[in-house]
This record gives sequence, structure tokens and C-alpha cells, in this order.
Amino acid sequence: MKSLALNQIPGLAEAMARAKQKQFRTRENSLLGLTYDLCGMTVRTMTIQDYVLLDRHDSPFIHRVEPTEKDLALFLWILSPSFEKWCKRKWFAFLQPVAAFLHGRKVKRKFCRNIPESSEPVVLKCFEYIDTMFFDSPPALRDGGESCTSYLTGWFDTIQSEYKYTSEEVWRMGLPELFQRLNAIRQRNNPSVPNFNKGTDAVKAWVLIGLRKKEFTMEDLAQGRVKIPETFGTN
Amino acid sequence: MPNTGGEQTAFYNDGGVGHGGFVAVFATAGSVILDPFNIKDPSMTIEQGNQIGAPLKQASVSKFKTATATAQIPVDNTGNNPTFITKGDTFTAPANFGGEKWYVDDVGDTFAAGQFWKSELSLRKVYN
Repeated sequence: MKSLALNQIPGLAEAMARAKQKQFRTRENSLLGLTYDLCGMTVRTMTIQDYVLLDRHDSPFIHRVEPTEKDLALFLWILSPSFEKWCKRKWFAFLQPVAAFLHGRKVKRKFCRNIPESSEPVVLKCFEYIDTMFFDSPPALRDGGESCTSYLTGWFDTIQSEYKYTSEEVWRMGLPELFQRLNAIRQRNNPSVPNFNKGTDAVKAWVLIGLRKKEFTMEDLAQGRVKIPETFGTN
Repeated sequence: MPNTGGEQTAFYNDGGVGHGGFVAVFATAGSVILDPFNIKDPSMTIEQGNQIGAPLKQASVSKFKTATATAQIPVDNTGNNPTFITKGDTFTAPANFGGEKWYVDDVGDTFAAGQFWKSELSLRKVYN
């Protein structure tokens, strides 16, 4: 059977362009240290220390399982700008549990009145936020051996071997920035590793899965008989 | 999935919104996306000089064509069960990529990021 050029598939070039634009913005945002709005709750860009803290609390958002209302409140509190301010505060720092309690009550009133209808939109937004934070998480080698160091050692060692960052600065680095830098280091030192672009790769994967599941044929693709989802690059 | 037409197709595309890949149908592995796909078409020059080595005659002949490509490996819709490409597998490139038949000479390490799997391939043109 004949192969088919991607730019000969009607609608695919446009879907790829949308995905590429979204990818571009996501990556540009990664170094801007933005805040994100999750259904009216403001969260910061997740840093390495936020990630470790959430992981230590077994946050379902990190492990991609269904969260409880307490998990939601904790997630939104740890990533809130207020939490960061309270952690830096010299005076009355002992009042932090009170601030956490008040924040939790706000979350409960706002999202937990009629679970799951009231909480679903914010939970989905949280998972979308996680996807954005991990957009450029570095590729792993298939059947790679067991590491003898912590993942944190790997991150700190790679970053500090290449840049003059103190440990404190690395702890406060946003995950998207960390992953972008790790990818840049990998490209410089090992250009034979393939590049991953999750936005455009998703479009290509959709084509492959459709062909594999026999939802459409190459002929259908070439003749424009397949509707490319308009959601690529828009959500 | 019918194409209802309209918005999904550009009424004009000058090729600037494009990509350098294609869906290759491998003899064994089936459909795989190769993007980018870069052909190397090297040549060799035969030079003949005179008694003191000054240029007299020359001829250029083609050497073997090779290519490199990044293969996005098909998986099922859960992102699992990848179909790996093996050495010796063949496919024919689309006309706008030369329409030639290629075989896989070397498969690089396979990497995964989330649900996506990729390998670097070294390819050689099939001549007979």
C-alpha cells in the first residue's frame, strides 16, 4: 500500500497548525512564571518544591486518580500565592493553619456543595493545569535500567552542571521551565534522541490509532472523508 | 466519521503551514508516521588530471541514497502496546518524497514521553 504525505490530508495541516500554536504558547508561558485561573481560584506555576510537597501528600492530581474534596482543597492551597506568602512570612507565621483553614472553607463553599456536579469543572481544570505543567516532561528510554539516584538528584545535577544556579534557585524553579531546560540540555548533549511535541504528536497519534482500529483507511484520509477533531490545539 | 466540509479545510494553503512527514505503510509494522524524513543523496566525483595534476576530465556519479527519519510508533488508544519497527522492514515513500522504496537499516533506541513513542531510523533505498 502507498504511503500518504501528511500535508495531503485535508484538514490535517490546519489541525497541526492549531496544535503547534498552542504548543508554542504553552512553552513561552513556561518561562514567564504566570499564575493560572482554575474556576476562580488562582494558582502559581508549580515549582519543584510544590511538586515534592504534593507528592509527599500523595496528591491524586499528581497520580491521576480521583480526588476527594480534601485533596482538592489541599492542592489549591499548596499552589495558591497565599501559601507562598505565608511560608515566607516572618511575623505571625504560626497563624498559617488558620489561613489554610479559611482557604479550605472557601473551596468547600465554592465547589463542594453538590458533589460531583459542583466540583467536576474545577477538578478537570486542575488536571488540565497538571498537563500544562508536565507538557515537556523529558522522554524516557524504553526498558531503561533502574536508577541508583533520586529523580531530584537527576534534576539538580543536570541543571547545576549546566547553569550556575544555587540549590535554592533550583527548588523554586517552575516545572515547565525545568523540563524545557532539561530538554535543551539533552538536545545539546545527545541530538540523536527524538524530539517530542505533545501537541502535534497527539494529532499524529490520532491518525495512527484511527488507522490501526480501522475507523478509516488511507484512502478516506486522502479523499478528505475523515473529520479531523477541531479540539486539537483549542482545549 | 463523515467530513461535513466547511471549516476544517483551508480555502488556500500556500504550503507554509505544513510539515515534512508522511504516514508510511511498512510491510511488517503497518502504519507509522515518519516526521521528519530527510533524504541524503550523495555523489562521488572521479577526477583525472594531466601529467602535473592539473584538471583534465571529471565525472560525478551517484552514491547510495540513504535517509534518516523519526518514527512515531503506533500504540492503542490507551497509549500502550506499541508496534516496534524492525530492521529490514520496507515501505514506499509518497510521490512528493520521491516515491522510492526504502528499507530500515538501523533502529535507534526507543523513547517514550507520556503516551507517545518514538525511534530514530536509518534507512537505505532499495535498488532492486
